[in-house]
Amino acid sequence: MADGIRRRDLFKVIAAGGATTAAIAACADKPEKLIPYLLPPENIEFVPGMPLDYATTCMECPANCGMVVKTREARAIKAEGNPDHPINQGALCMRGQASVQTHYNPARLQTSMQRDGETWKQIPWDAAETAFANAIKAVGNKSQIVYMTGNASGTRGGFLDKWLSAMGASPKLVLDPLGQHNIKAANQLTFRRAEIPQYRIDQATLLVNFGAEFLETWLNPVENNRLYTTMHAYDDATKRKGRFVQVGPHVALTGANADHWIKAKPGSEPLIVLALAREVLSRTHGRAVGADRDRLTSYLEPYTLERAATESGAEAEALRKLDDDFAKAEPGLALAGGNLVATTEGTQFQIAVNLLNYVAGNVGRTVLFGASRQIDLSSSHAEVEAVVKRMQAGEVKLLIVDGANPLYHLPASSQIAGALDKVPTIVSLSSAWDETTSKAHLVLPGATFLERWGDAFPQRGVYSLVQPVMATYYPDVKAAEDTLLSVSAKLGDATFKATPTYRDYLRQAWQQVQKEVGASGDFEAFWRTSLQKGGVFRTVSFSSSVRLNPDALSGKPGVAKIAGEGLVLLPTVSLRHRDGRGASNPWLQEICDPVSQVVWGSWADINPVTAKKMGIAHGDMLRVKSPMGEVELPAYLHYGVHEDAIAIPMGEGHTHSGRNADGYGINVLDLLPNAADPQSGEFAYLTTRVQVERTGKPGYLVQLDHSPRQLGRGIIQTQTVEQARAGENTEEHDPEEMKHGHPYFDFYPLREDQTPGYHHTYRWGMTIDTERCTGCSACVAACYAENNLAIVGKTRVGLGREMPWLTIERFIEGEGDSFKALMQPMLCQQCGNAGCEPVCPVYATYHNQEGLNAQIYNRCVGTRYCSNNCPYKVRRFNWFNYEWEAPLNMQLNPDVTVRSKGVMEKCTFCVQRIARARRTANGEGRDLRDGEVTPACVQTCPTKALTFGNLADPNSAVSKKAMRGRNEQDKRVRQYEVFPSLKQHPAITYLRKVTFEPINQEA
Amino acid sequence: MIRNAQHRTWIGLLAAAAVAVALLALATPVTAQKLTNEDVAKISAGPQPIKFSHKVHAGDNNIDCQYCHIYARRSYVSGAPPVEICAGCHKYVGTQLDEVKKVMGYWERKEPIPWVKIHDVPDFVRYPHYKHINAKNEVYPNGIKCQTCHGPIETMNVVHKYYSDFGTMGWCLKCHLTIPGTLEFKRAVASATNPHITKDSIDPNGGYRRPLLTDCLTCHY
Repeated sequence: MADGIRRRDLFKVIAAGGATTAAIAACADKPEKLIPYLLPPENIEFVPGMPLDYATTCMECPANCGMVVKTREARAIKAEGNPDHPINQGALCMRGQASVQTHYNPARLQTSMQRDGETWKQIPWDAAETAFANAIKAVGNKSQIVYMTGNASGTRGGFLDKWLSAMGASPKLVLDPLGQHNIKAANQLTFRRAEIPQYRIDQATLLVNFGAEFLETWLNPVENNRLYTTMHAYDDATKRKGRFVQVGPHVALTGANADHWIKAKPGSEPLIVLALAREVLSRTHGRAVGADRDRLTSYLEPYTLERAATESGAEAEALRKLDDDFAKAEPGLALAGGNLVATTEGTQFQIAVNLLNYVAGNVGRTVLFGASRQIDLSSSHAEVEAVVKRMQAGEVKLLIVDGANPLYHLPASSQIAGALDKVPTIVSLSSAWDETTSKAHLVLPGATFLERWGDAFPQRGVYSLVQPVMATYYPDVKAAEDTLLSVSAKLGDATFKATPTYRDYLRQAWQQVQKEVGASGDFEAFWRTSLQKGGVFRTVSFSSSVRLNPDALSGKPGVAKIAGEGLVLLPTVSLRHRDGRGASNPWLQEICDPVSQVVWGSWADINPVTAKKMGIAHGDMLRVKSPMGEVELPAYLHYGVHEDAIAIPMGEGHTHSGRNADGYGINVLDLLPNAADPQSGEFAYLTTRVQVERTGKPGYLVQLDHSPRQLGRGIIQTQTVEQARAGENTEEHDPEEMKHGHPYFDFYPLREDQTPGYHHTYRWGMTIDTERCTGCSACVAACYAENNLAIVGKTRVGLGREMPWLTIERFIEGEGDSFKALMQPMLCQQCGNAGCEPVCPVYATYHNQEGLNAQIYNRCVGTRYCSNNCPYKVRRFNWFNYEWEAPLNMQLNPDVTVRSKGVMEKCTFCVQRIARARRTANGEGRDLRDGEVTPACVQTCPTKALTFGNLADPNSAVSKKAMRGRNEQDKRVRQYEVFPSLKQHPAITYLRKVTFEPINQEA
Repeated sequence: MIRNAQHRTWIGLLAAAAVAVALLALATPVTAQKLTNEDVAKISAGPQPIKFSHKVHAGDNNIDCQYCHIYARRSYVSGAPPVEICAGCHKYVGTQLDEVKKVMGYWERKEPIPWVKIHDVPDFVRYPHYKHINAKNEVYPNGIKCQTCHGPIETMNVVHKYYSDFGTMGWCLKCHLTIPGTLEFKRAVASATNPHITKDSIDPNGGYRRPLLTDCLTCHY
């Protein structure tokens, strides 16, 4: 029988059988329903199947970047930066990208509720408002009403003040644990300007940073990233490349970008700063300080470089070099901020930094006053603590929380839990469950910022509007401002009679804005244009002549005294969760921290030297004990932490914020004593030492990097400034390949060689400038948002089943204090001769004529050969049908198929965007223009590290950067492709990182 | 020799299994080929909530398709007509008819009509209605008619799939590869005579504007 049947016939028989069964299966499909609109939407621009964009403002942090939210069928699906907005200029950070998931948070409050003993009782909205009004009425002494909010930007702050004064309540409290009050207080004392200045990082040639995590969360990370690369990135031989030196006890993402890390004892920074100031003063002969010279000289007399070196443990040689560079810098800039310099003498330290900038002549050049930045609207810890004391004394009868979560954000040592128990009525206007809301008595769920009206004035000349991009997702949800207005109407208060809704109030306030910006004409027209553009943006120049107030020079700052025994606890700020408000957002949990590569949970950075001494291995479960409490978390061996310290990021360890946050990691605030800086009232983060011991249990630490070293493979390549300036191409070849004495030859001819014109009109490609990439991971979040990437959870990531199409790869080079953490985005390289394509048995992946490595989900049968054959490891396999917990599924992009079990998936340069743009161009009878299509990752990059475009067009931006043409190959300097020896011919060209000192890749 | 014998056994086993599968499939009474259009309509869709006649509307009364399907020329979807459009006429027209009363009942109750979907393409297909409605070329100087794909809807009292293989890939490509004037046809001709496809041999006046319809990524992403 076997002789009688041929192979082809066999396949025919099998195919026929398969086809018949498939047809029957298709008949059994349930017919779908076709549900029409009742009324066609009034907005003529609204077309189902087509996106509609709204300009608004991001409210995820006080930076208030401009935002454009894409909606489909009246659902917000993607947030992008507003290109017209002066602060972020089209980019967003990862938290801004993830704001749509905050909006569709499964832990959102859905209806008004009243506490019924231990459980909740759902009540009608009107009844809830009445109950709220009655609660206000019931308070005899109205000053015993306290209002805590998480956001007071723009008009909202004044509105709350007005409402509270109409009620006779205490002034509002604005909770933000990262308030930077030390800077504000120090500027008041030194320059008589109580504000956070504008730091012109882009103007500096030398940036010295003490603790400020300015590329992660500090002040305005998107703007900082942009300014930083302007200053620091090597573009071409003519442009100066600035230097960035990090001083302090810990290296996170910001520190990892530094050219040099000067390790210093925790809390010893004031000595270094003042020593630098002393040296700069003596070198420049006080040109910048004029008459204050003698006084400053005598004040700085005791702060010698030698003393700073001895007491901080920093290398004297490194300090001397830094000092030399700082004196010569034209101009330099010293930045300071963040938790690691927030000691009980944090203000004194900031005064020292002001002095250094003043002495070096940076004030007025890189430190500008007069911007009136509104990043600092929060109340200080001292103010909050005073209210907590009142609560404990039973002097608060009604507490209203609105986006504020004191139970989580205040340290346990402030006795906040006990204080909340003493408040008879707590009303929550928050939009999602959190620790404080779980203690409330009455809940009137608030709207997210994608559902409400509002505005923000992040700095002078920038008036940014917030408008609802969709109706409230749950019907029983109302913007907190509108709830307040209804309640005041219910109480018969006449203050807001003219403005029954917050939109009316906002419009009234914007009539004032119209006058301020001097826009003439009809208000309606002004209002409409402002909404369309996302606000009004004016360029204003700052007059910033400030003089030093000599009285500020009264303190004698030294090394901060840190009580207790053991290692110094460094509570760092999380890039992903900031202070913890993004923890219930599954994207932010599953996207790894770029430096540690950890997902889902906390970890403790500990120096390998210390770890060895204490017998701790990477991943061991540690017990960290302070006088205030104890926590257990896994150890992470990290060169970038001082031997005498242990660093734990904030933001995890929630208990009532929904299942994506609860139970992951620990809250480091549980370990901190309740202490504040007496001058600014800012919470003192660096105040305690902790006892660290092994528990003997293994810690559950899940990391995305499976190998921290690149082992000479040349994945992230670097070259020195001299080499780049000299035009030297430092191509690193695979050592294995070079055993033959020459690079490998191509086994297969390139498609273009085989078939001229194969890449017809378009050949999509990308360049990634590793010199500009700071590792901020905004691109990763954008990719998750655009492409419906599944969240698989901690267990499955631990099994290697993570799903990101784009990851920030991090490789460590060197050891000890001089280690380098190199980062670069890794995504499908869309290879010209891809390894994945020939091994696919069903043609589900192939090279198309536009140079894309296509992945057709409905063809894929899941053999996973392609993934096994991909040297870049960028293909992801669906081991399950992953679900989107409702209502997170509402965020899914209808333009992208949701992949099901057994299907391979990967990046295709956002082919859905290419397709849409091309259909538009086609309708206009033209080819796509350069820059018309941007994949989500390219769109959101704050530093413009990614360039996407058509490699077939020699004049496109990407072609000019990639220099792939035959006659351009010899002129390449920084360009390289990853793994050239494998001859896959990627469409992505990387540009080498340029460093001052060579980084040797260890094989 | 031993290896050869094993090889044969494998093929034999496989063939036997395949034949078994095929027989099983053939034994099933209904196969796709034997279905008439009416059968397909009956199987693929249940009864419609309203006995709506396209013949009466689009045929006898000559109402333009896009009077009701308002999004077809602007979007990927053609848009099921909003109930307001039905009510707009039927407030005055045919108010005595039972089926119209049913429609007005939905309108008065403010309920959308739960139509049963007849023409459906799988969720992994992107089909832009507007690119087809607005397409103009030598063959279709006034754009493609709805009837080109949906069949003579204006003659149907009950809408059914006119082409039983509607929405399958081969059915789409049948037109795209055989109708003279389409880019794909030109390209197919060009590639038959000249294996080195160049920009000029396809479209001397312009670039490669239209997606290549034989590229999977054009519709599947």
